[in-house]
Amino acid sequence: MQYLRDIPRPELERRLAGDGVSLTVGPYRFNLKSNLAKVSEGLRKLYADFPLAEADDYIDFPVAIRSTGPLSRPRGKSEFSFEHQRPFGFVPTPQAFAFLEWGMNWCLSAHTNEYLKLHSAVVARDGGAIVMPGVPGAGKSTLCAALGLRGWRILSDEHALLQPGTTDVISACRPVSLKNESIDVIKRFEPDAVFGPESHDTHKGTVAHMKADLAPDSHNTAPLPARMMLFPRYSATDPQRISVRRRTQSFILAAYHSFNYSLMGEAGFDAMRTLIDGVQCYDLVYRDLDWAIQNIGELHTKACRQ
Amino acid sequence: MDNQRTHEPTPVWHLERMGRIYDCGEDTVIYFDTRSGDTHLITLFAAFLLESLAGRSLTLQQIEAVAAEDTNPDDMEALGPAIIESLDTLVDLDIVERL
Repeated sequence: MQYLRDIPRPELERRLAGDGVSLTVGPYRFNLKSNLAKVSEGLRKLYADFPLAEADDYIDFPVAIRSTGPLSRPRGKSEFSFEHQRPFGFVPTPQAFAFLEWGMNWCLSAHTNEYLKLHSAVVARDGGAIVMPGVPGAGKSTLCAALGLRGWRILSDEHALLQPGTTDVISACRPVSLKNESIDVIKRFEPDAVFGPESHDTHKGTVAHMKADLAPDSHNTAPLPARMMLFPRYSATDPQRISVRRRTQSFILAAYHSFNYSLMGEAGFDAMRTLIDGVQCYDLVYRDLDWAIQNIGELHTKACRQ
Repeated sequence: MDNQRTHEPTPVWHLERMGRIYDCGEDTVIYFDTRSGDTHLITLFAAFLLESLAGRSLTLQQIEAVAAEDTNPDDMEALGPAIIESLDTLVDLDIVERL
């Protein structure tokens, strides 16, 4: 098996600008094209250990982020595309890497329905996974990054892919997206964390992505049973706590955080019911990452024994 | 006017098709409306009313009679208002029709 790191830098740039580079991301294959140095730099840092797709693999998502055309290029504009769709229009070229990541998220969110998909981080340890849904800004990605840096396997900071009829999650590991203060929080938390290019002044503020495939089995797509569903919320002022969350409330909130629950209709209801029946549900309010990691670890160990 | 009122038909509540219920032992349940595809968090009592109404139309009196069978005699006075409140909620959620 070949990895992105096996491609020398000049060849990577040449391939990105030409036919593209095809990567395996969880159960999917992306073909990436770009003529932007910042994108190539970000890929080299954050996707170095991603397996390359085989030549005859089906490509689920041929995507590109390019600056082309006599007007857009001099004006510093680029455009993300997936086949003929351009969901973001023209974006500032210095933000291209962030938009590539958001575009890849959009591909998964909007175009796949074989799994029940929750807007959720997923981490795993000892053969069991924790699903952590959360609205943007709840602190799920920060917590996910911190857990990953303390030995947990990151399956995703954005998409929980759940196999209907089971509690199994499938990894779609990609870099963790951090915003604003969270970037420095994680850099202080682990100075050796690897970051890609920062994108400033985006609609979410400053965004940077952290290398997430830190575990030896990061790209293993074998299903892992979810043991817990945890709804994290960062608060600088509220007391830190982990408390049991009612299953019915968890069901409704998880459905709210799903990309395709409604689309799946009754199959979505059945899939969610199986998930909620099979996991313990908790609310987590945290401000200290070490405290959160310790307490999550203890709960997870208990949940895995049950 | 009074004459007209006396001739108003007695309202009935109707549930065309029972949806799916997920009851995990709490005092609320999840109701999946298979007609609309909407998911609701409803009380156990509302779920009981839905099961009573499934596929038929009942008057308030008939619903009260069904509910009375499972109601503690001490709670009988509160039964009528509780039924009306729950039915109003179910009508607002477009689960039940008031005809």
